[in-house]
Amino acid sequence: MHLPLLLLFGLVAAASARGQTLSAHYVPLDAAPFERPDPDAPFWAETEPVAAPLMGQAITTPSKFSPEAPLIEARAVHNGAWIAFRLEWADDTKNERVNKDEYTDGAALALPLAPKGATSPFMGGPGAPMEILHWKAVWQRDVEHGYADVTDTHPNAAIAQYHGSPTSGDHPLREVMASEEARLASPAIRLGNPVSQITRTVPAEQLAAVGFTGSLTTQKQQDIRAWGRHADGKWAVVLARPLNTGDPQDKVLEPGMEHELNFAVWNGAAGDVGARKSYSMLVPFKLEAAP
Amino acid sequence: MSTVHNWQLDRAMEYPYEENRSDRQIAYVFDTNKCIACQTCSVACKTTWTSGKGQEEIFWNNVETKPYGGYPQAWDIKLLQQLDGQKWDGSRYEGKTVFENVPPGERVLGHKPEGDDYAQVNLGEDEVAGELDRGAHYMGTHHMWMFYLARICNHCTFPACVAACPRKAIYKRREDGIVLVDQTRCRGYQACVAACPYKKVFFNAVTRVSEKCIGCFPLIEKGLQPRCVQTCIGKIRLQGFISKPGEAREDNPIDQLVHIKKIALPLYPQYGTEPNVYYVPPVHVPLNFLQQMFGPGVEAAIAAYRNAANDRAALAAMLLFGNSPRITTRYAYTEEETIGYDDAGEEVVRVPLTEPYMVRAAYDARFKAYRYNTP
Repeated sequence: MHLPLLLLFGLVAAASARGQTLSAHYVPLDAAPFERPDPDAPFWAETEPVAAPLMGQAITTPSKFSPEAPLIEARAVHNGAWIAFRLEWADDTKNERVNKDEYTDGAALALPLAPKGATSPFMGGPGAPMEILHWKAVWQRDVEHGYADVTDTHPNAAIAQYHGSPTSGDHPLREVMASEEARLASPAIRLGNPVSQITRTVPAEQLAAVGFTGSLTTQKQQDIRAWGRHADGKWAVVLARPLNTGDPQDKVLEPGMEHELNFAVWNGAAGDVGARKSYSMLVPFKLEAAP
Repeated sequence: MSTVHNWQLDRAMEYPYEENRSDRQIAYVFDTNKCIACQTCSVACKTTWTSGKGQEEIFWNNVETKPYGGYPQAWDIKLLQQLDGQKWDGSRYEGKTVFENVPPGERVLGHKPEGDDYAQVNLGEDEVAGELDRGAHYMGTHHMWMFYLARICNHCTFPACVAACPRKAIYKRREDGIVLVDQTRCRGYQACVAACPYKKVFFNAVTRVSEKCIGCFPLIEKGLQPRCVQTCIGKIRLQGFISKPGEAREDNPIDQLVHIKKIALPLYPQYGTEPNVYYVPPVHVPLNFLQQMFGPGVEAAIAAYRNAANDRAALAAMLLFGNSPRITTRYAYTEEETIGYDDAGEEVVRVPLTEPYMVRAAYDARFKAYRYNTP
């Protein structure tokens, strides 16, 4: 048998042998902690974490043969209307820029739309779509400090004049992009590519996928909230959304239900991007009944 | 993996997708012997397409000085070092292409340039291959060599960028073979940047997606040649369409120069992508260097080029270069001139095979003066 597949099945056996289930605890909170997530909110300390083993992604190319972190620690809470997941994993460096030779840190969580046991962990499959919640450090930096401009990656850049810019020299990105002429020179921004959003307010997006086949697609309806924090060589990221978003591309979650989900992380310093990631197998998951 | 036929290698090869040639294939011939590296093409391209934020180091068109120049730096050497052997048996390539020597976990053999490799667009400009011996001086033949290599996307028949993109965000147009990055679909993984052997896909750090030469398709759709071709003051370029292997037409100037006379050769055909910019190799450069760069047909190509003055079909095709903004898809010639036509059969351009000239006597009796040639 193919060596990475052998390793993978070994890990599945290890994970299931422990029989760990991620339990989303009921917390009697209003929507605010979900709409403005905080990885350091005190209630997280009251939750029971699950540690899921991470492995390299060797199912499709480009591949990554060994994981960047051995484990991801996951916690979850819900209040009967919203759910939030807190993911924590080791990462020595905070990588929050993208450039020719820079990649961003990130984390994702995948929820199968099909009932438990009917989906592959490889971002779903034909007829078995996944809903994916994806946070990126570069997006959080955009939200905190504004969308990265040329001077963020090249502080000493000397610019004569940009296309569509009314006057010579450099100007802030948003000012330049106010001109239709300038947007024509930045087609991904002009066309609204989801990775080229210069006015981002949430550092994460919801996607849909039906497998490792280039099927990943940003959902039209975005119901996600997220925030991350890097400290002491670890990332802690919270991803939240309403239990029922009303979006057919999202899994309807209900208190008391049992389901499954899996996780992925990207280490920008290691050149992780796209399919080059560390990910976990599907982890059993249940939502505590609301009182 | 599928098996496709790459005529430039004279053999079948592996490629991730089935052979599915476009209805038409855009192609160019660049005559390196005429290029003076004025960079008018680079500027025309840059001001037309890549003068926005994040495109500061993006040069869809560049002109570099060989042997030492290259943008990004050492783009070709870094891949050549990874290609084993690069052996040819006559016209057949016996080595492995970038699709046949793929490292585990990758889709294509490639390399990702460092950020600094993009820092200096014209490093090595005008540097010659070596130092002159003490006392050497010009006696009609230069002792050292260099030449200018103008480069754009090759709109390859088997593009490595297409093969590498895990999102299928890059596609080849059926109507003209132009290769495009879908700017709404790309998520900036940069797999194409690492895979393109010619390093003609660039990452834009502001839009956070990859961008590449679009073959000036809005012009092509109007029957006009791309900006880099139209603006070339040295008239080194001709853009047209190349016929499929075995379907070459005598009256297609690109076919005539590439398929029939074999004067123009692909750049690094051993990479295996079947690139569609064809170069007339420089006549004054050591053959072993040129053979690595343009394949085994170099010696014959140079001989055919040197003989072009006696070969009216070749000469007539080459005199179409730079004489009209419109695309010539068919040409004919008489003893005096060459005539280009477009798809509709309309005359595009008419050029004399020999420019009008007059011979004047060395001594001008009227002014009682001798005339001297100043070559």
